[in-house]
Amino acid sequence: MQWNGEFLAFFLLSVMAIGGAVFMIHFTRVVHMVLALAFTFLSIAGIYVLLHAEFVAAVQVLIYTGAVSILMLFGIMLTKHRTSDHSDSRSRHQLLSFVGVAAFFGVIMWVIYHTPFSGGKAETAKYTVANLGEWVFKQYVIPFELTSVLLLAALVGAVILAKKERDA
Amino acid sequence: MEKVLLDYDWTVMAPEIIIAAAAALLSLADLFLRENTDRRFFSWFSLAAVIAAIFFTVSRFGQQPYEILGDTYRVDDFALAFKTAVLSGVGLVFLLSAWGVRQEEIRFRGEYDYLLLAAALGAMIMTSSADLITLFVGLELLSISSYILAGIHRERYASNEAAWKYVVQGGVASAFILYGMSFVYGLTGSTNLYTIQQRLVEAYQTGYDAFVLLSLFLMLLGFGFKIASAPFHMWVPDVYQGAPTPVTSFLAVVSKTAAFALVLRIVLVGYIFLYQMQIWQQVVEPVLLVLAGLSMVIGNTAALHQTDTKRLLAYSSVAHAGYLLVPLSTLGAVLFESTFYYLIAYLVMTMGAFTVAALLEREAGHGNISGFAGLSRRSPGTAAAMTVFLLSLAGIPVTAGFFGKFYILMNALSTQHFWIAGIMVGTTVISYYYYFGIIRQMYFRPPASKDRMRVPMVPALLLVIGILGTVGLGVVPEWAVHWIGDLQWMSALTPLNAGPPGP
Amino acid sequence: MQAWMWLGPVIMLFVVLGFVTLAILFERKVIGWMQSRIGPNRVGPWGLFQTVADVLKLLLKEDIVPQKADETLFKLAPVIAFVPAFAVVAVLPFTDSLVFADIGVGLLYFIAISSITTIGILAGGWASNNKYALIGAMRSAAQMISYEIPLVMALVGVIMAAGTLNLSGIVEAQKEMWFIVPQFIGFVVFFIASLAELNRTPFDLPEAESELVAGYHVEYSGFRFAFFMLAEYVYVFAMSALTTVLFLGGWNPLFGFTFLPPLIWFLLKFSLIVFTLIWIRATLPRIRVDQLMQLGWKVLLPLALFNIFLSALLKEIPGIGSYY
Repeated sequence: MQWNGEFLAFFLLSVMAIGGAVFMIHFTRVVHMVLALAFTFLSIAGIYVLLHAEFVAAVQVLIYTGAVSILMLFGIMLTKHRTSDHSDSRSRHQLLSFVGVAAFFGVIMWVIYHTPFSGGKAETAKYTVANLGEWVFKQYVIPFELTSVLLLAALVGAVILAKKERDA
Repeated sequence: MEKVLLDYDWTVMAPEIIIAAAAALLSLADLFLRENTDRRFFSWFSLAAVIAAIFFTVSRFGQQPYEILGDTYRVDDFALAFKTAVLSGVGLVFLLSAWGVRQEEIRFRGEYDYLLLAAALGAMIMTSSADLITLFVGLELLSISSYILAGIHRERYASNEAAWKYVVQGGVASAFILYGMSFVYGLTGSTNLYTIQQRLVEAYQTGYDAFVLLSLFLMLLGFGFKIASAPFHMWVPDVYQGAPTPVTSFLAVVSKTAAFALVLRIVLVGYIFLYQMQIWQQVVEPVLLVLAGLSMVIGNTAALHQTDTKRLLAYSSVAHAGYLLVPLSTLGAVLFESTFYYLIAYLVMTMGAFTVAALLEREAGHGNISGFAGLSRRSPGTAAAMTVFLLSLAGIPVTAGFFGKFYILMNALSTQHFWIAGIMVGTTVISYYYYFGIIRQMYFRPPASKDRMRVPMVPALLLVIGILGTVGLGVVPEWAVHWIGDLQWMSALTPLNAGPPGP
Repeated sequence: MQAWMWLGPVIMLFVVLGFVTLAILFERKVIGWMQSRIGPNRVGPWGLFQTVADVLKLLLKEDIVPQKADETLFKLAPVIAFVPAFAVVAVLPFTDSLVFADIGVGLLYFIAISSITTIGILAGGWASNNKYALIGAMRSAAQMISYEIPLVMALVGVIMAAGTLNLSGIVEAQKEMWFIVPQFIGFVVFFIASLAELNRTPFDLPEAESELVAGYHVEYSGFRFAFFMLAEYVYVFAMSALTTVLFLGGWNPLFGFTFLPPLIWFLLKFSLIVFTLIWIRATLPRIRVDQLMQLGWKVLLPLALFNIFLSALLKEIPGIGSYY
């Protein structure tokens, strides 16, 4: 393992991403939670840049950090709610969740350390936006079109579930 | 050299295209129709589209398998059989909706129909693709449409609760599936299942065995939710009870069939090599059998003290998911045949039971089992039909359910899995108690009102279809068994063209 | 080379700050002139140091954090708003050699990073714990989300014609014909949407002084307020430069007048855009919130989609197809 710039950047971005996620759970005010989440999204975009996936990184920032976080904040500010989330859940429940998550973490860590990673580094630089576009519109055109149906269904659903009652 | 869009024969996608076009047409019609126009004909129109799709699906039986764009779409006998089952289920659901979903109750009558079509499209895609991305998009299309459908009855609190629970737990399940799939992609560098089939073996043998198993188990965790098996069944009772009854029947019948098609395809194509390496028998099979056993025990015992019909059927659905998991885990000689037979048996009997449940819910205004009291005097025909469905669900001979269970049991015994067969028989006996509880209500309890219950044409037709299917599959199972046995199930496991696509 | 890596951005920062100072003065002068006033003329010759004096005043002001405000977020918000504003400048190509980060997806980077500023505005408005500030912030978010879609859609035509997301590549593609001619619909949609993204009149609802006092920055004073103002004017700089690059051919000369250096050409076009922005501010009244939404979703978005369709269609026609 070498301490070069790339590794340093990866390290920092990972810490930021994980830190954002931890703070997201830890904070008690909903607005702070969303901001922490936005921070995580942004750090993940940074990791994409390290992997030479600039397009994905830009889209990540545009969609997640930009649109999704802002919509969440917007939704939180528009709806009535308690400004902070008083966690009054039972401690038994929390203990159970903790054990579950810890076990899952343990399994994943064991698998990672158990596996001797070998083989060369993949050439990531050659995958350009143009390549990506060709793949999406040639090989993966069926799932792509299906995604549009999916988004339409989600849009219709969001509208009918959120629409105000006329008679009420 | 490289095949591009127009080199393919897109007519094989006719069923999907019909369903998608029908959904698009309906959404446009909904836009231009006046607000208070009765939209019940939407369901009939959808039914016509579904029948056309069934026609095109069935007409492809017996032809060579075909794939489009590196297996992102694929028709083989496996796909066709499951798609026919899914579409038949959807057709029956539309029939039930044409009568059972009223605009006075559910204001979004138009949206209801085209969301159901969208969900059906997702289910169809789940049966006929061999590409992880397409399969996942299909799964999400089905799931997201189902979340909305579960909550479409907005005035009812239970419906809101159902949608909420379903979306949260379903989202977590999808996340697990996706996490597992990401490991598969990381190990193989491909989303094509047949390429994955080859490369996973290499990965397994070059020291990545733990990752291969991790990916499988992560996906199974999510799949367990989608097929409603224990211990991932927490959402089932609430969602089944809260959702409008036609939607519940859709979840029970169509979602389950499509989810099994997806699970069978991914697990068998991707991980079949584990069986040849004896790993399956040591690691995967015990886990799956424990899940199956748990589902049977939890489903059947929890159903014992239910007082709501739909909730009871929900727990029964969990138990049935357990039975259905047995062939997958033991991988016997008649794996596909027994699973598929059971699924169609489950389809006809459950649709019938839900039709009766919907009838009584409308009649009594509530979904409590006490609504069945004295049904034999108020409507002997309906009571008799319900008895047939219940006997079939319980697995009493000369019904579809009996032969389905028998088939699965034989498969388990032939592969020397006696303990799971024991659990199956034991829990089946337990299930008699609650199924017979309903029969007792119908025949031995005094009715709440003396006047006869009128059964309209459409539900009556559904009951007739249900009885024909249940009894027919039970009395002359060999017809269905022959037909199912003649299909080229193994074609699902073998790639069509040599040479892996992808980078 | 190494020295330039560090020095370049610092110089750029000062250039941008200089621009902001001048632009504010220019804006006041032009508006004054259009309204038959003189404009600032007391500080320095021709009022040249007016902005400098204003900035000094801001720096010397007391720094106030309201008692009921969310202090951390209140202090953080101006930073969140400003940093992206400066970060987008990195990808702008001023000439074929004067560009800091020539990345492949430059255009997308610009749009993506600029959307982060809204988080800063929203956080600032919320943290102030003031209803005017909150309403201003909400309007800003709604406006930004609504107009980002037509903005990006309008650019698809340009991207299709240039075949790249790289900004230098897009300028190169305009050697023969500036995109403002074949992509005229795209340009109109983009320009209107960019006005809305910049929160400038007639889309300055987030800070509508007649109804919201001052909008999202009503509780801010001194240096923190200056940061919000700075972010706004840096975006004017960046958006004008982007418009120049995308539709006016960047540093490409008009009529083959190559005796002017490319940078001058760029600056000329850039100044034209800045002037137009100020001109619009002096001319048009503010629109209502519902009109704002109607315009974005029912007019601009369909127009942008139509433009994509039209561009794709015209691309197939021989002869003029080469311009698309």
